[in-house]
Amino acid sequence: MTLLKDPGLSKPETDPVAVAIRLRPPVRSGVTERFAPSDPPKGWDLAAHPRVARILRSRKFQFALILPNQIIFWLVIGLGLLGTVVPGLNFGTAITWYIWFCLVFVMMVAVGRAWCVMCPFGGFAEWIQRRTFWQRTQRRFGLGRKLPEPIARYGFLLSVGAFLLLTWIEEYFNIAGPGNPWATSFMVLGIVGSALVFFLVFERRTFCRYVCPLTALIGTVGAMGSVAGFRTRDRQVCLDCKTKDCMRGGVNGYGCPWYTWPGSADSNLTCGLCSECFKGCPEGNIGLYVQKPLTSVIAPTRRRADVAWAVALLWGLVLYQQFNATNVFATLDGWLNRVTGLAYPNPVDYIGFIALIALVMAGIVKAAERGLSRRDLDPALAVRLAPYPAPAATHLVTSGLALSSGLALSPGLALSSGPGTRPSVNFMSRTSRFRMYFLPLMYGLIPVVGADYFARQLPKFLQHASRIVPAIGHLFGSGSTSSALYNTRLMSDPGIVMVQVAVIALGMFASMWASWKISGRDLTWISRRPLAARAVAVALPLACGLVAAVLYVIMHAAD
Amino acid sequence: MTLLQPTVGPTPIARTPHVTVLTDRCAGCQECVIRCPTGALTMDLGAWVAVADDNRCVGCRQCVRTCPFSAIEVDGPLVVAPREAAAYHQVAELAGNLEETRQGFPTWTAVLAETERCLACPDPTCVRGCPVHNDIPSFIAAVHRGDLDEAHRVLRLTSFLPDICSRVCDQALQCEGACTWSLAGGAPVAIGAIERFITDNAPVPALQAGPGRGSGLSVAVVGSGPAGIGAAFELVRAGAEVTVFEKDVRPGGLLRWGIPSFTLPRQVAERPWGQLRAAGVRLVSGHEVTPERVEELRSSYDAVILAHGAGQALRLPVEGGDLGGVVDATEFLNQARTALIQSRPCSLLAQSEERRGSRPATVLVLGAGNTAMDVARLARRLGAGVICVDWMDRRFAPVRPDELEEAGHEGVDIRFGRTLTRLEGDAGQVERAVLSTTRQVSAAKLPEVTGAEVTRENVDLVVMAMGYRIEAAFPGVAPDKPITRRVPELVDRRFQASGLLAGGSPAFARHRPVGELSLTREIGRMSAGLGTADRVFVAGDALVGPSTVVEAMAQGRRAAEAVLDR
Ligand code: SF4
Ligand code: SF4
Ligand code: SF4
Ligand code: SF4
Ligand code: SF4
Ligand code: SF4
Repeated sequence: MTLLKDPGLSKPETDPVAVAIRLRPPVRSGVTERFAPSDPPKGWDLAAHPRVARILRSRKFQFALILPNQIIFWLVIGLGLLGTVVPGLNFGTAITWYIWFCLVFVMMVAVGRAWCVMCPFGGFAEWIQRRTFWQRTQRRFGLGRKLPEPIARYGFLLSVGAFLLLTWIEEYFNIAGPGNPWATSFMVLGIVGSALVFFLVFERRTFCRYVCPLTALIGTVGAMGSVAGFRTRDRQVCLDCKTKDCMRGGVNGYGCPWYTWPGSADSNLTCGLCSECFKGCPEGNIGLYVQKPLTSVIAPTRRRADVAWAVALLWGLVLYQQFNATNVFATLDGWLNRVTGLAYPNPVDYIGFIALIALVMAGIVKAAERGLSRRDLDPALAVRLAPYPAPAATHLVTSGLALSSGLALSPGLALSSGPGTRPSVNFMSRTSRFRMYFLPLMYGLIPVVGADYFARQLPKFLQHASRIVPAIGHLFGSGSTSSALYNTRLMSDPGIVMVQVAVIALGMFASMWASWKISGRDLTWISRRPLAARAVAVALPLACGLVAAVLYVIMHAAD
Repeated sequence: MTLLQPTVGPTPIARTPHVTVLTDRCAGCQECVIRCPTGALTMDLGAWVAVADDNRCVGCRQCVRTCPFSAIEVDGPLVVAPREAAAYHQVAELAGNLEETRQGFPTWTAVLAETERCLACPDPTCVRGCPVHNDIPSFIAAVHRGDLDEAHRVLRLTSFLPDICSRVCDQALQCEGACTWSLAGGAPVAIGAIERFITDNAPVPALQAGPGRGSGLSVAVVGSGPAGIGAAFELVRAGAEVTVFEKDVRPGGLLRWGIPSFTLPRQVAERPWGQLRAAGVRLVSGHEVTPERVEELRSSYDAVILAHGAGQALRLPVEGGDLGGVVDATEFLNQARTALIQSRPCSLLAQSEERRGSRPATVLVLGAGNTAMDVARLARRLGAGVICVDWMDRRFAPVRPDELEEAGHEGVDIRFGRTLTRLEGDAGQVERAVLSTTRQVSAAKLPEVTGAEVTRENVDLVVMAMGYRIEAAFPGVAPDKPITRRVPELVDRRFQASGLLAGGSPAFARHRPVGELSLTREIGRMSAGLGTADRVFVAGDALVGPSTVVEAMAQGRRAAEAVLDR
């Protein structure tokens, strides 16, 4: 493959102390095979087009995307506090709840983290953290701490927690329903404020990576997207790269704010598309790749426990939101409120229901694993011996011993070689039979869960999207609740339900297809009855899809 | 014989360090894997994260410093033997004694034990800490094998003055401060002492000069100190014709007049020029090059390297500063040195003899930096009593602690937090000094005179030894002084990747940011290679102000390389 080298890039110079550098050879064997399933096709590199490359290389690229959103969200804050209290007429509420949320979902499903690149919350805090709007500076502002490992090991689950909290608050104050301008503006202020605190205490985009209420949702649902993110063009070049400017920051770009290395990314999960790595790599070895939809659901070689649990919990949340519009719920809730002495949204049944759904999902998987898994596999080893690339398996557990023979310069180091190397066991790295089923199966559910979230947002958009026009008009003194557009609906209620069910169906089929592919690679070889395993994998999203669809019909009936 | 132990880290205990890889954040970039000295790290290809073998880990924290995503943590002890310190030898009779006080390793056993402590780091931070980038792990490995000639050869690849540098370098801020053990909070490998052991025990190879890529070039070097030596060495080695102009009668600059023989013995200090001359470097001594004459040189030579140093001693503008018996460090060092070598009384001290009779003279040294220590210790050897005053706080003073301690042992009365407010005299001759106290709260802030506690001391000679600066006339010579230019090709990313910059301010480096200091020196070195458009290069103290022997040499070599490249 020929590398695209731009004359504008500064080349790595010769190291002044090159004579004394004797780096160990990196582990190379099996690398190509390890990443083959998730690497996008070589030709699908948008940055190969000079014009795209020029835009991405511009330091103002992200600034230009953030600025409009920044203006809108400060307007939301200001108008929420000072503008009209009629939610449909307040530009703040109208744009946030009728347009923005829906657009974010469309971007998520189509692209991935498109929202993250233009996000005004992180963007604003990052300007302050970097003390610049777009320049590459070394002047950091803030404490630059790292998120402590005992917290960081739960990855996206922090964000899921924040999302659950935010949704509960939103239900409690009924911020989104028709919209509450005052509360909306405090909510946005709250997000900006907490983002700012995190950006000033911690380094990089710790907030975006771990805490932002939306990041888990965008990350998981975004896996359906067709943008693979910024990836390395030639992995061998990266293995030889001694400076890793894309991670540490180079002359023209910051180190990846999202803690992502384009050289090892196997999904678009944690690439915020900010293009800093592209600017920073002195070798011009980074491209912006597109991929087939669902690739980041199906292909990742390393499946993450936090993502799997996030899918289960997010599924619980969206089901709760559907379920709470039904009569059954009203009865149940009424009873619970009497027992606990709390009012809607009762945190006990809120959390209880969501946890229950997640546990039901886990229970189903556990049952499947019991009935299907091969007993002769040691899960700890099996995860590492996963069948991705056959050649890699032979090299898998490279012992430190073999490596150390490469450099025998070290005088007098008489250390006994250890019993081998194992990753430290924690939430993120633990292996078990259950996880070997749970992780792939939950990844397979991503499309149907994503579709359900999208379907949930549709009514607001389809009923009220046109109110944005009178809301804008109202800013200039013309729009009112009697404007024609204020009461125009894009679609009638039965129509909306049809669309919702159609969206769910689409997500369900996508999920079934993804699960079929996933199970073929990840489950068949660990199962006694491979075909049964694949059947279970396909049945699960089918069941989920049906539940969601039926709930929409019931919700409509309850209205 | 007194042994002054440098700060030694915690004694190793029978516990292995524990390495934790943050599996969430580890991107599997292998930066730690390729730099771990012991091979304790490797990759888990399935999860694509680094994994560690605690049993091989020695706790050096190199992985922690190098990880771009702070995804690895190490706790537990440093698994390393205690540092073998070289000896300090306190001479029995000070008066007239110019014997070297600091000693090398006394035995092979000691030096071998010390070489065992080196990890042969794959990306050795010590090398970046050394201004001239000696290949430290290689020469230590060679000593470990018992191959001193090879060790010497490795040293000579990068340094022409290893015998001198190993004696005069402030290793705590350079190689040793940057050693991985120091960065991890322990006691670094005694690199300087090992280097000295090599040069003390291996024969100096002849300087090979012959036709090379410099053939046909004729270059003028102004100044014969460390920077000039570095430049001349590099040029003559490449076959260039080198003419060095020195204003003194004898060459060597600071090496000759600036550093007393009890730190740098004469035969060692004179060795480089002996070799350079033998290799054909032409020396024009007793010939001062004034700024106006630089232009002349430029027209008659292919290139000019200005390495005239920063020889102007700083003087404190104080009442009574013009009295007789108030001199600067350069003058005193010169006079005292000659007197001691010729075993006769020093004329500067003799001036007050009449007044004080047989009472020993009292010398007041202003400053307590390294130059001041040299002055004070020389004065002690001349039989005088010495008071050193410095307005800085002891904690922030830029002096080598061992130097300070040795001076203390030799009976120098060192007072920090004091300043001279006035000198009083009689008949034009200084007699009394009025001192008052100062207070300094942080290294970044200048001390302030509190005015309290005025003390008077009877003094017979006052030496201003606060340091030097570049002669005022010279900066105008090279209009585009390179140091003020940006150095675009500077390789700070490599420094960053090595983990040196993440090493902070280790205790061994006297809590100074050893990584940043190294980087600053690197900028200086790169700047020496820039030069001006009309082939004038500036190197050494003339470029960056008072620095160190090794820095000056490194810059001289860099300037010479640039000349050869043009
Ligand atoms: S992307 Fe560029 S900077 Fe990053 S590791 Fe690869 S070659 Fe190095
Ligand atoms: S991988 Fe590149 S584009 Fe993606 S978040 Fe990191 S620096 Fe930005
Ligand atoms: S502390 Fe040192 S020896 Fe231990 S794993 Fe890290 S780099 Fe290797
Ligand atoms: S340097 Fe850090 S991110 Fe890279 S492999 Fe090591 S622990 Fe992981
Ligand atoms: S020249 Fe100085 S800094 Fe360099 S290795 Fe030798 S003693 Fe250390
Ligand atoms: S001297 Fe220190 S830093 Fe240098 S190679 Fe040895 S252990 Fe590593």
